[in-house]
Amino acid sequence: MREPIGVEDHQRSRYVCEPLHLLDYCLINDGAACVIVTTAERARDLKQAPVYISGMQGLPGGSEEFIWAYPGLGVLQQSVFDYEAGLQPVYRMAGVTPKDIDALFTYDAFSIVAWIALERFGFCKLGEAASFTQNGRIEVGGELPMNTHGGLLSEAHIMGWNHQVEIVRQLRGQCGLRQVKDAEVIQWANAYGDSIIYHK
Amino acid sequence: MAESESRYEKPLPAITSLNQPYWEALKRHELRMQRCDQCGRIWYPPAPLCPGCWSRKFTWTQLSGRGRVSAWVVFHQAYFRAYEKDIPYNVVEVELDEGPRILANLLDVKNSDIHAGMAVEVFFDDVTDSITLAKFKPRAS
Repeated sequence: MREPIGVEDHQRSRYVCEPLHLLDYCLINDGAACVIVTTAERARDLKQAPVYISGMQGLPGGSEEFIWAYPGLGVLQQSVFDYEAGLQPVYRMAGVTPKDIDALFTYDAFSIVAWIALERFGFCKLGEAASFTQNGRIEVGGELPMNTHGGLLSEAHIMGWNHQVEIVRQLRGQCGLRQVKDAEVIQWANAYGDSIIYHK
Repeated sequence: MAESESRYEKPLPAITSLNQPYWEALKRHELRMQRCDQCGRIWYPPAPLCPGCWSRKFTWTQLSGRGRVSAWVVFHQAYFRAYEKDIPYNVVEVELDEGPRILANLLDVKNSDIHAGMAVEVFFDDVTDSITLAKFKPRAS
């Protein structure tokens, strides 16, 4: 997408599966992304400034897990999961809390999945993501910038790899007009539960 | 009203040895799901073992057919040509009184009147001579 999209544009776009409008859906495209992962020692000698991985966690399993949302929300699930938002292993491994995150990147094949990630990882309480994301909070310059490259909704659907590329560029200070000022710790956090925390 | 297989153009379920008792019960206008003989959990969709305790021993148990709407959407796009005349049509997730959740259409309601917690009961829709689908209608709560 190359033109700015406002709330009115979103509201005017047709419904596909109500309550989702066309602009709540990601793009369908071809594309590729590349990341090079190596040891900190080897990275030291490379031309580009390294970005470090300080914590990570994979997709959690269990009978109440459901791949499109948080636990307990699927058709097969029958109980409400007892959340420990903000206490996930990824934060312990990285030695940070959600309050330390300078920007958040999340899988956004549909706009609502970004809300679920915010609630699951403890950036706001359950059911509060819709109000949390109002008034510029997730814009560049806001309290928690999200998907500054446009994400799957607006840049391209490359399964989230384009998010990892943008995180690296942000931490290197290569993002120009969309640069998050003084970004030092950036998190990838997915509604389904996987996460990586990067730092400068 | 039942239509012959050739006139009903929407997708029909694939009957397997695992789900056959579910579809045979619907044909008799009964809603039956697997109930774990060990822990008592009732689950849907059909599965070879209990998602709660992994026991393989279960009994196909008749349910009340009553529940509440826990989520819903309204399709404005016809992904199959046979649905073109139905759009916009709803798909609701019903949480049955016995616990399991099931996806279905909610009949006899304006889409704009659907809400979470809405009390509903099953309606058996004989869509072909051999297949009956579980759908739902509002009921007094």
